Amino acid sequence: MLSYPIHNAALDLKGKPPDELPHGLLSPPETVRELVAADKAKHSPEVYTEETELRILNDWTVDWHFNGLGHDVFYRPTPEGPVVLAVGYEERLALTRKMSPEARRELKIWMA
Amino acid sequence: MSRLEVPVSHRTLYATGDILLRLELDLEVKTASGAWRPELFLVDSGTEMTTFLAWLARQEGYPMPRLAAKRVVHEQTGLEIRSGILRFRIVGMDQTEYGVPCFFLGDPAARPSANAPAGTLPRRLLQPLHLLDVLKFSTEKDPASVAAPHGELVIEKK
Repeated sequence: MLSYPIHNAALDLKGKPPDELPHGLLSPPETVRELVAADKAKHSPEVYTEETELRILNDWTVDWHFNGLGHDVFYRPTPEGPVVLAVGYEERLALTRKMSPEARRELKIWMA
Repeated sequence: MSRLEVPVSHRTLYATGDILLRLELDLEVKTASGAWRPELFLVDSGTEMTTFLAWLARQEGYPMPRLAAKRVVHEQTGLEIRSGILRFRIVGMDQTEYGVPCFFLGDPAARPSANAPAGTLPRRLLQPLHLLDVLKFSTEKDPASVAAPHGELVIEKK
């Protein structure tokens, strides 16, 4: 059973520069899985499809690590969790300038 | 007719458990050389003006005025203003190019600090009311709508 306030990972990352924040595959923490399960329980299976659940699980896992830090996050959603490719403006530019428009369109942005 | 349904995004506020709702819209913004670059915007009818960080606009090549407006700063951030036009198309709709008045905020030559406190940098906000001559915006919540548990924004070309 979830109780609030919840101490998310970003609270322990405040003040760190983007390159010291989490990168790569982020496995969804148990609390995020519980939050998604609680959210899913509020809606019918027709609304909360497998695709919707995966989208929200990836988005909320990024949110868990970056909420309140003030940096946009570029990531690739996967069934195992989001793969963080760039954090903040500098990394965004370094990442996307090398990318084709098609590849860039496949990225998801978590907006701070 | 071109039509797009955008699901409302939602997140949990960890402090209280409340659900926060927002509308995010994928755009492709036009550079000075005519290329298109993906940008995610928050749709915000309360913002009064579309906003974009001037430093990032310069880095991406989005055209904006050379000079900042005099005797005015952006109230929320205190940053200088370049009053220009943001040209874009909407991902998922047809290839129509739209333009909205836009405040490019801050010094285009000043790299934003990585340690800037959250909330002091301008967000990418899209003021949709500037598009009502050409687009219709409506919000709906269909209990049976797939992928939109909290409703959706419907955008239709007029």
